[in-house]
Amino acid sequence: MKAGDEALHDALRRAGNVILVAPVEATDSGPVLRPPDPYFTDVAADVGAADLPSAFETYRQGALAVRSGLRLEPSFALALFAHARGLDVDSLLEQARRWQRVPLPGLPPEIGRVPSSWWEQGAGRASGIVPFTIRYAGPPTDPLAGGLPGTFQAFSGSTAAITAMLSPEFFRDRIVLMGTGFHDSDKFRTPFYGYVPRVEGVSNPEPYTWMYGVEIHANALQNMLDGEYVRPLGPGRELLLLLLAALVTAGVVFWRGATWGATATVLMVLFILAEGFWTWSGQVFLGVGPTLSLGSRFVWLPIVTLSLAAVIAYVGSVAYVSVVEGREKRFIKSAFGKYVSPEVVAEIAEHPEALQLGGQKRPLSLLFSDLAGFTTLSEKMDPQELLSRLNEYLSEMTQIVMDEGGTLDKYIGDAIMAFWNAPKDVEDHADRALRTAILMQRRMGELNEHWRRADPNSTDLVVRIGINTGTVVVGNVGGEDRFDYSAIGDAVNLAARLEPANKTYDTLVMASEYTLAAADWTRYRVRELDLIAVKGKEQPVTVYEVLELADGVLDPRREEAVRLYDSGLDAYKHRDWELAAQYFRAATEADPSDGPSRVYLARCLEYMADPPPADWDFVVRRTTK
Amino acid sequence: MVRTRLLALAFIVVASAGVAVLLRAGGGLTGVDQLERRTLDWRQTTTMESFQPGRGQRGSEIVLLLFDSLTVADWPYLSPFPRAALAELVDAVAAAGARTIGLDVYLDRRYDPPGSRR
Repeated sequence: MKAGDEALHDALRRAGNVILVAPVEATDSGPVLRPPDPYFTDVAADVGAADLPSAFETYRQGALAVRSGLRLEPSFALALFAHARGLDVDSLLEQARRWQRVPLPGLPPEIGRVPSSWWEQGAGRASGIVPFTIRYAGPPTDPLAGGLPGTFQAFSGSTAAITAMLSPEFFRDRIVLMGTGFHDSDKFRTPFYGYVPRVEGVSNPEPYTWMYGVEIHANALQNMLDGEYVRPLGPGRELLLLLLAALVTAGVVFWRGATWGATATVLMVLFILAEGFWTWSGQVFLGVGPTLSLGSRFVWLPIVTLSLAAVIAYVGSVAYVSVVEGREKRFIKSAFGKYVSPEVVAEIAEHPEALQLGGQKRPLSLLFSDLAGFTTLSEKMDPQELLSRLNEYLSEMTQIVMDEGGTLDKYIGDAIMAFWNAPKDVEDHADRALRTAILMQRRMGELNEHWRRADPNSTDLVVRIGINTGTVVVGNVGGEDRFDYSAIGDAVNLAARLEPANKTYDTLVMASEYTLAAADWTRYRVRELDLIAVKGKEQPVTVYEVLELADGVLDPRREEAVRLYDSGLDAYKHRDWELAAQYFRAATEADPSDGPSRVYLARCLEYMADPPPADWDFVVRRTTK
Repeated sequence: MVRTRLLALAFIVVASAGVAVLLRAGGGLTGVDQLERRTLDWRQTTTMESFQPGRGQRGSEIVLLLFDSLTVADWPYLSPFPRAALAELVDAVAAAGARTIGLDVYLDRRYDPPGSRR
């Protein structure tokens, strides 16, 4: 019998299709492949490098080629692949050297790169493996492990020769990898290490353990045969997705606040997780794979990094919003807290961009109120009690203004100036001003009653209110340290003038035609008062008395007086002074306290005696404030 | 105001992506890359596309021939692997018509002097 070496030599020569392995050895001038004895290589089909990229624990990478001196040598798997597919491995590697990339079908562009620095002077000992992440076909195969399903068809060396003889179809046209299946030094951890499979009919299966080196090569080879590799995103796509993930979570925080942002972040992480599996398995796609022109499956989405970006963006934006914008919010609170209700402050602080503090022209509804009889009261009341009553009055009235979404402009003694539709948009600003006036009157009645209960001799206070609507300039008015958010313009002046005009008619709430035009008439009981031109103004304006809300209750006597008054006013407009006087007289008899009827009765009596000129325009020009 | 917010948003987005990239590039220091690989393992082991036990029966061209404990039990010695035994297996597989044979055994040098018989 021939000696062993010779027998193997002859067997290799006879087969003619055997690929041998060789290790890469580190030398001072760089890695060098140490081929087997020429006695064997002479009769072998090729030699491939057996080295795998070094791993700390779990082997996830295989090799495409290795650097050996100034040459590129195939890995074991590549040499097998080239031989099985009839490719010329030398020209393949020459191409790889020239184009700096191993040209294999299906290989993603991000992998297989051959650094040109390997061929430069002084490349030195730099390691030289062209790696790729192995897409494992499955768990380790061990013909002796009972019960655990392996991946590849495997035969024990003890029976392989007989099997090949009796059933050659097991080996015909196959790529047969022979290697150690017992040795301690040639087994490795793979992703399947410790994985407990679900096996039909086995209740407590053992976890998978090591994989022999030859099977890792087999898995690497399987990737090449399938032309399907693990596809990393590559830096460009990865950065794009990182920015996208961060943008969504940070955007929601900026847009809807931290709570919504937290929800969005959790959903984003879950989505990244799901997408990670989808892009891997190719079962479902939400656009990421095809959009980024990645393959249909085995895309390695960096789940952890993407989730980190989303979470960091969340934390960063919450920090920014609470620290930087918190400062702005505190400023807004201090600047507006006195003028508007806390709800409005919160809303402004949430959307400060909607605010133009510098001053802007916008339509406002303005309300001026003043206390009648307060001056007399101040003369006979104890100053302390007087102030406490004034403060009680002001705080009650201010509360109503704020409840109705108004902005308190200022107090002037016992007077209040307020407006609607700034700084915050208030669609129904005219309605709110009218409502506020009516509610203030109701509250005044309650306050008087309350004070009378405490002191039966208490003098009732009367609040007169003027309301106008018009376009004015609104903004912060004042010096650098002391400023008020205030409104300036003709419409402001008119509102201020309507308030004392109440005195003439003995009315409580007077509103201009502009306010009523901007409001919903049907919601109020109003009556036309007069056509007046306030002091310093030529343009006459029709003014109305606001009596109650449409569903409010009027005193029946006043109800009757108002009905008669309306008929009287109609006659008055037709210059029928006598008929008008009859109506107004009847109205004053129905309700002696009805001021407007009294005013018109007197006016009609005057015109009966001394009629105004025929071209009189009905305008009453006021010469006092 | 709106401009400031947009700038801040853009900065936060870019910085978050940058920090995430750095954390991953930090390698062993941060453990992010390791975690990333663990999640890849997780995908490898739990999806039907990559966890394919029995793939060999379903059309892989690859067949493994393992020198397991039963095999080596018949071998007279283990180092080096007895070349005659390897020769016998190569012959058998080649005779059965294997297209390519990979021998994952390093034949570093001859152990029998040239011309010797045993």
